[in-house]
Amino acid sequence: MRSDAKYALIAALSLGVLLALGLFLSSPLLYTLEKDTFPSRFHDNTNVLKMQSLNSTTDVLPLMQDLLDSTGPVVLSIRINDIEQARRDLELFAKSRGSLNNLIVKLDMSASEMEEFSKSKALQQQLLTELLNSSVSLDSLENLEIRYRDQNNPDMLMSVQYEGDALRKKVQELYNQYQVETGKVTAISTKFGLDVTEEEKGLLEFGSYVQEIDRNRNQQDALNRAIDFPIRRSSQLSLLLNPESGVYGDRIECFGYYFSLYGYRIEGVPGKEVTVFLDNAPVSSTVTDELGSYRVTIPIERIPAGPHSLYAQSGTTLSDIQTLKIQPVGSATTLVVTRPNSNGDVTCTGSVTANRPVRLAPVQLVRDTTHITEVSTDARGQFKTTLRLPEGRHTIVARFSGEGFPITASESTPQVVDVSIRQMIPSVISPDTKWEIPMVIAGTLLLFIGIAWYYIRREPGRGTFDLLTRAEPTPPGTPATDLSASYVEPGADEPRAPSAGTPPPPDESLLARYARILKAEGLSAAAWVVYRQFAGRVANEMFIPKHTALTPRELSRSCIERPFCRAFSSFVSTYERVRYGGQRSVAMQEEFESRIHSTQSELEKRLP
Amino acid sequence: MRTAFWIAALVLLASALLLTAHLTSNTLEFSRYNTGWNGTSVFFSGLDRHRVTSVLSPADLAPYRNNTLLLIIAPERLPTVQETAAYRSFLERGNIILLADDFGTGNAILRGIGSRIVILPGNLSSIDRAYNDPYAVVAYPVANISPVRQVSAILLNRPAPLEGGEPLVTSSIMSWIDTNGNKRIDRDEMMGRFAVMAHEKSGSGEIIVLSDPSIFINSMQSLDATWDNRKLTDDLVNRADPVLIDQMNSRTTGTEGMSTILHVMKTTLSIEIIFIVVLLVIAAVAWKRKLV
Repeated sequence: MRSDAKYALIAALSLGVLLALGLFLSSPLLYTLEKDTFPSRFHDNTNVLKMQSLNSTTDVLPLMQDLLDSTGPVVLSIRINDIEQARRDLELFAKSRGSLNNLIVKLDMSASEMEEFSKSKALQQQLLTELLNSSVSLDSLENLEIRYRDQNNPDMLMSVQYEGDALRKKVQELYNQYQVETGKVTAISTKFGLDVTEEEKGLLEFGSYVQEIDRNRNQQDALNRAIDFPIRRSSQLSLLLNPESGVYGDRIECFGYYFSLYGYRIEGVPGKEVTVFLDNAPVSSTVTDELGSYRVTIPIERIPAGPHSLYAQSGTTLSDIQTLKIQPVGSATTLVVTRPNSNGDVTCTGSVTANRPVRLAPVQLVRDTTHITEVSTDARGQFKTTLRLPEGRHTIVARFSGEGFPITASESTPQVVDVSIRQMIPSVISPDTKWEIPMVIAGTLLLFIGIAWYYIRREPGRGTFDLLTRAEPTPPGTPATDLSASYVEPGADEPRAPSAGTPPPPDESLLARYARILKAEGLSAAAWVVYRQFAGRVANEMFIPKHTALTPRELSRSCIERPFCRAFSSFVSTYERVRYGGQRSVAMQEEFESRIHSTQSELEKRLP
Repeated sequence: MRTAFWIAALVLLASALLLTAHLTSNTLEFSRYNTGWNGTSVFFSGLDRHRVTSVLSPADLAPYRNNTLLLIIAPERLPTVQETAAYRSFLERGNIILLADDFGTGNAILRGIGSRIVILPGNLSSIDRAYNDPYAVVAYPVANISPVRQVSAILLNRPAPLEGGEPLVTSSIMSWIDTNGNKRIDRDEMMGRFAVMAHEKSGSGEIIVLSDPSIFINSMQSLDATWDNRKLTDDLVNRADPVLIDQMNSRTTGTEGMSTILHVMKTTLSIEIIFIVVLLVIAAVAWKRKLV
């Protein structure tokens, strides 16, 4: 292939590649994750999604069925007074519920019927736990009642009866709530095609249990009425609530009067210690003043919504049971997430409020619906924590479940955090500046061109495609003038460097130049000029690139199958003897000149 | 020097070829020239050219009668009057139209051919999934008829729910329509079973609607054997009767840049001939000048 055609091909290909690359200058990356995950309304790229195979029939519904089948046995065990079995069943129930809750969080199904199912099941668990505790307490009270009746101790008997009444009332309320939750659970389960037999059986057992404890109470009352209690002066304790209902954050004033009856006279008793019980648990204590009155304040904080029993006790004296109604209120959870630092750490701050800040509230920080971090609000209802996030795009939500509080659940607006390598590894190029990447590419390209240009131009007299005009390194013994000896390549317009002294005439023939240099610089220099002339012509004719990198003998061997090659070979042989062999006698000069004539003659036949 | 030249030339040639290959592809949704995840190059390259015919104009539908299947994948514009008339006439001749569309203009086609099946708005989401994405819905056949007889479960990618017709494939009961597109279930989004493939008779013809054309894209064609996506699409096109693919109104014809040139060259016979002639002339000139 001809040299110019080769270079044209290289140039065309290079130009094509550069042009094609130019199409991507604005977005130089051909394949990126961002390109592959571009938002589409038709589909998502499954190649970048995380595998998570899930089947409702095998993974979710069996778990729900387990929960459905768990409640009936618990109630039955309570009813037959097998407390240990009931506790074990409740533990299993809690475990299954935990699994379902995890699944709900993992699947981000917090607003679904599954979540409603789980919530109802959680309430059922709570109600059954309270039922179990109440059942144990009722048993104890029944025993005490029998003992005090046997001891003919009306004060203690009355106290125990009060407590028993409160518990029975509570069990009835538990049943009412359980009925509601069972209705919800049954409706959802029926929709999902689950078997609700055990669930319904549990409700029936619960109802039977309530009837049984009422029946027992009536029997006890009949027995108590049969006993003739002696009339005697006794102490009395009153209890009033203000207000009788409230919401989270309200403060309930509990006050009363401790007095004794002396005939028809009533006298307050000072200095008596009075304890106020909420749902049978002591919440506050005080001492009666000089008039026998007392006053305590109960803040509504971590108390579930609904009715609660309150009574006061001083020694063996009990007040009447009062009911405190706590109404649920809505809540709001906020979350602010800072930008990630170089380690991927973000600071999450937020608050939980329900008309007022919610103190010591547990808050779940849920990352990507799968990772949960528990924090708690402080006295001002605020929380703050630091999370370390791996590289990628993350969604963080703060959730307040409201469990144990008279407050409904809430969650914050999802916060999206992008932790990228660009943020984790500081870069000199800002990714936000869209022009910087093309500018960097252009700079690199310019640098490359500059280096290439310098490389090409670093040797004096060398041009981009001027590959055939380089001066031959001077061999030892060559006259100094050879270094700058001028010569003209075939086809070249002008010599690049003049010879020592005056520049050669533009139309000077080879023989004339030979004669001039022979006279001025000797045979060796003149022979070299003639060789360069012939070498250039032969190389051009034979398409030999970079012939100046070849020795005269190599060039001579490269010249084959052309008529002038024989003459050129003889010329090179004589030239070597003159130039390198140091033979510069008159006979050798004559022989060399005859080789010049014969070679020139052959070349001119080929190249007129 | 000669070796260096040829190495450089080969590198440049390879670069040029790679770039050409890249540029002749595209990233258009459903495009048959898109070799990326959202193209349909895998489906189209697997078609038997002797059995499957492209329909480029309404007149192309005229010769077919009795049980020929016409696939309309992801229509992108409203059908013209001529197209609708051709579809209706095609059905009347006892043929089958299978429309695969979710958020395109499928409802207009269905209305035009008198179907009672409607593609509902909203993303169908489900707990039954293959990826951590509720839109990667697994659906199950509920009928034992062609083309779902051999299918046990298919994986869909952002399907839409269907209304009307007789369901062939439905989602599980734990599915919902994500009306606000937040990829989560909300209080007003109820769980239930939704049809994603339904059919109905229309005169002597049949209309089948699949509410997810994404089943034809490359990433959904190369799923593992758990899902029968490939089986379903293979069963659709590998049938005894002729299969036609609508190329009048389909996103599968989408082209851009050099792929448009390639598409025009491949589909226009005269341009194809001219191109080959020009190439031959260049080769002849090069040979004559002994450039090669």
